[in-house]
Amino acid sequence: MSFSLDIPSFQAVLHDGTGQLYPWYMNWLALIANFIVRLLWFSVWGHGIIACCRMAGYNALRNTHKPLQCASIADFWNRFYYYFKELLVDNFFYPTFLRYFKKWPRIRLLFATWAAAGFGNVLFHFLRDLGTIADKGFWLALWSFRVYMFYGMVLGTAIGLSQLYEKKRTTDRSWFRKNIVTPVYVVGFYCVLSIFDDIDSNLTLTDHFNFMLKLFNIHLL
Amino acid sequence: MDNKSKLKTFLQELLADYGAGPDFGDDDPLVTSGLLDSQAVFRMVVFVEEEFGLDLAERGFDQNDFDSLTNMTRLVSS
Repeated sequence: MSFSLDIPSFQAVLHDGTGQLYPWYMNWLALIANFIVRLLWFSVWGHGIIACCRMAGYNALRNTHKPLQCASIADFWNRFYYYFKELLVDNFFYPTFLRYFKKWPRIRLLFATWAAAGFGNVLFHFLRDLGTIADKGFWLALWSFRVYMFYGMVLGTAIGLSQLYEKKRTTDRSWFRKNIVTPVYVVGFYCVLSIFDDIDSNLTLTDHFNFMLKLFNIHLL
Repeated sequence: MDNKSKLKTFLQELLADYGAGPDFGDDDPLVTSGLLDSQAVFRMVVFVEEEFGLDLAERGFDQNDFDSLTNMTRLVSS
């Protein structure tokens, strides 16, 4: 997919290994444009399904609900992809939380969150791509999934730490901090992390890291 | 303070953290209505474990047990 305003597609900038085709700011524009388009596409997709549920008489909660008003990394995920999060919470978070590290509350929360947002998330996407496993074989498919595994590991850790250090929802923060500063930090984190939300299993983890460095005009290759 | 009163006080504090008012009915759905989310449920789980000594890993976990004050009171009393 390419964008107007001469912004290259994310695939194009990601495959620009030497960084000679696009300047660093084009990499940023492509990354941000890709992130916004995916956010919008995802919202529309979820709203369509929820609209059908509601027309059928079910008072289903929204899948995506004001993600740009997020108060933390954990809150963004809750607002962005509610039903997937609930699926992971039911199948991975609670079973882990109820059984392990009961005497260490912080480790208990961190481990259970990691089990859901990290392990569960990766497992779901790996098993979703059964065609890849059938084509490549289990171990090669697993190896080609390493970038998404890294993504899941970072995401799970970040959400876990976010929950661990999240203060109670207070109203004493200034409007600017609550509505601008915090959402920019959080959305910025997800935007940069989306580099590793692997849509092309042909690239290596090093390729993705190189792209991240190129955002800051650092060229290792 | 009886179990129901303890739970109600805790839920009122939880609702306040989520920007909701303290008034709710015993049977009002708190989670499935969207008023509270799964992060709130995990705080409820910790509360009933610590306050009432329940081991939900042994009893089996059902998020519906945390959907209303009535359901939570039934859970801790059973």
